[in-house]
Amino acid sequence: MTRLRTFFLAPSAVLMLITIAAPLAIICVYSVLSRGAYGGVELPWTPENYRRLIDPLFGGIFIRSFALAGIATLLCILLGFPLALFIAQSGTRKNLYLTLVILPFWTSFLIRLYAWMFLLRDTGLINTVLQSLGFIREPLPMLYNNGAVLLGLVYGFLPFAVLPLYATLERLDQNLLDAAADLGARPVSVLIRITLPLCAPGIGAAAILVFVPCLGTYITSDLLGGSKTILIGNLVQNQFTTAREWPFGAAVSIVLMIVAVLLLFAVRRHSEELL
Amino acid sequence: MGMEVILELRDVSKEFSAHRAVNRVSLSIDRGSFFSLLGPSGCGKTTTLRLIAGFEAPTSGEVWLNGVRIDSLPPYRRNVNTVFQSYALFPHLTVRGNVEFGLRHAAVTNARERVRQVLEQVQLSGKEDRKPSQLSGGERQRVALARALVLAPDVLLLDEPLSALDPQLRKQVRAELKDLQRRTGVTFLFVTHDQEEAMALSDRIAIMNTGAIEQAGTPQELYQQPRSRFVASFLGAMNWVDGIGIRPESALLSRDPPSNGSNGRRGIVAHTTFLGSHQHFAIQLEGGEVFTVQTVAGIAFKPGEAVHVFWEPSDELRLPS
Amino acid sequence: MKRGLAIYAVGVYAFLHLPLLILAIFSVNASRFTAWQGFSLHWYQAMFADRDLLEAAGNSLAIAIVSTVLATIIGTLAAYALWKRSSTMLAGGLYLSLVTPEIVTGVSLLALFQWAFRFLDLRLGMHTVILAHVSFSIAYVVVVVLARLRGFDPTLEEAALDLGATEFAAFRRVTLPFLAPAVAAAAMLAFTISIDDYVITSLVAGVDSQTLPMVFYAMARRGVSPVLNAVSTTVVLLLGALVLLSERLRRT
Repeated sequence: MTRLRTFFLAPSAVLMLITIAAPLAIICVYSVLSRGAYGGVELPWTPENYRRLIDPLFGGIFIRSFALAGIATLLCILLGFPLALFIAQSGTRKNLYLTLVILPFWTSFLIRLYAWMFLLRDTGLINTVLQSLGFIREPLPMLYNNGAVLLGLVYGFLPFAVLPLYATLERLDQNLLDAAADLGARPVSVLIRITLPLCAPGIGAAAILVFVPCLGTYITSDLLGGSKTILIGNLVQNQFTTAREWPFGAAVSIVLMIVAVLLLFAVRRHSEELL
Repeated sequence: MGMEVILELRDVSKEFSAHRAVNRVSLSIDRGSFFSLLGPSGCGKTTTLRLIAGFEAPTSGEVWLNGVRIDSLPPYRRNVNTVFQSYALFPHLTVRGNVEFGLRHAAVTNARERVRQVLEQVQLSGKEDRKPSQLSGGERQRVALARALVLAPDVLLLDEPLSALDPQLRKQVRAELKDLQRRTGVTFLFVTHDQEEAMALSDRIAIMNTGAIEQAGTPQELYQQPRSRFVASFLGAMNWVDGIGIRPESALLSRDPPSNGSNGRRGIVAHTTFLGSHQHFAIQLEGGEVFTVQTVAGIAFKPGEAVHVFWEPSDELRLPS
Repeated sequence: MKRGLAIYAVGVYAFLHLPLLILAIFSVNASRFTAWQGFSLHWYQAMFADRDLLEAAGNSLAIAIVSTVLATIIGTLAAYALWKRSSTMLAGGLYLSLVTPEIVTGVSLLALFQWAFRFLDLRLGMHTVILAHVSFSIAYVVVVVLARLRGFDPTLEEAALDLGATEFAAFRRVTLPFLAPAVAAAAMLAFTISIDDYVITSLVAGVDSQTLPMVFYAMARRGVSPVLNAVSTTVVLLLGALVLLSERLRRT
């Protein structure tokens, strides 16, 4: 039995080792090396890259990234929970409503962001309609700012929040809700006193699932934020391409990874095992 | 505890898409009594309970509680409370939190006192700060009871509350339930498929079969004067010989034919079963049927012996099938 | 409260779907400006005439097919092995793969490749992209297949062994048929992930292998264009159909 199992595990284990473990190890090492003359890295070892992270120049980037990710996560949970509730209570049509959420989610993140570029730009649909209806005279600058990035993040990751929230609501014992009603609680009261407290772990898991990708987002800020909104993801990309500052980029990546892993551990204890 | 009707079902039916779960059920339950709905699984007793609690609305018919019609009210507006089969305790609240849950909506001034009192009544004082996961099965059931009773409902609905307990615990809890009902004077409506339970606990029983009530009455009435074969067989073992029903404990065995005016048959002992306080003899009658006789311990007949089975004519039950 | 929720749900679904619907509508707008000037398919014609676009699409397709096949096979086997007996190392690695932000996956793979290329005579190209895609798709395949395995009665395999089958034969003849819908669903999932990936691909693709997202991205950065609308609509329709099929399979 174990021989078959080893044989089955081998390809993925090897692959994980080569494409996940080794690369991260290399990045770890790079983060304490110095910048090479022609890009890349070279000795000596230095903690300078991590010291640069505290530089106020990058402070703004980190704060903006955490703030945007935080607000986007909050919005995704607030907007997603009622929808998940609706789906969980919809009886026979559950699958239909779930599919309607999953559909936009799995079809091209890139294209979905582009759709908002199309809608929000100065000559885009929203401005054109508002102008032709006489509500505004000049086009509203809705694109290439923090607000657009936030909108893009929420739009992109809302389904990411709805699915685990739905899973948690689904597992709620209907008897508990019946019992609360039996004891005199109105529907809103049942929601606040029973449903929400019991769903808290699931809500936490959904929050992490949204927060981490938002924190490391790259294309959302690049397409919708323009040059004014540099986030951590853009910083890393920049360091590894145009700026050719691999060690520093590596240091930023490691910090990002640590945040992600810490949050993962925080959630693992509460959420249903995926793997 | 006067003979005052507190809960009444008038010609209540409930249809789901495929079938009629409850078929023109009429019931009337006296205040302060212990009433049971008894029947095999699928007979509609749980649906009837849910109709009273408010989780289902009747397709036709009326539900009256304390002189007020309630069948169009949601559960939180009815003064009935349910003890669920799975107890449905809120896992994130303590025992105290569970018990005082409904009081928040009832606008009571002496909530703490009421909680303390009811916990004393169910013998859970001292465990207020435990969570349900820290309690035993029997304790959880008492929390469920306390939670419902603290609201002083007109009727307490119990959905097979003993089925989740082990057999030893069951008898003890059964006695405690009966005692609790007597002490509090609350009307209990008890749903079960266990006829022994129903008979031991109830003032009156309604036996249900495929959505309708077959017969309602006191346990003695139902046992001794069943009006159908179903009721007779459901409440206890029955022998059927030539269309006549005889309970195993009403029959006697002897080697000689009976001298007085009893009725009887001849047969051969097929096998015997020793059950501790009593015995069962399976007798193969001349006509081919197997007749079970229940006797006290100590009677000795061996398999293969020819015997006479006889009974009093007054013990015969002639029933439509 | 139910009616309130329903109204809210309609609002959210509109928010999620309208932008794409609007793109689709404008992809058949004869004018390149926002004003509607009649129905026309010539942006689609322009799309099919763009050589770079078509070549990139071809690359994306090739990469997706190869990486999907590999990821599905490796991932299914891994899921089965995990189901038989859990392995915290592998599970941890897969979790890591799922949780790592794309940008970090991308730059770490880039670092790996550049380091490896000191010893191997290779450059960035289709092969590095495929390797990257297989790597990040496996976790998703495992999640889908493992979910299905959780509903499988293990005594069925025991019965097969009892009747004389080897472990591999039991897997092939009893378990795999049961898993088939989930494996297919996982494959489609891996395919859509691969087709859509930009961040990781752009970092490890090198100069010669442009994928569809890369070309799309370059065009989008320059501004909105009706040809992009046409591309968007086409891709969304195709991937949408694939996702629907995958969901249908996953639910059987």
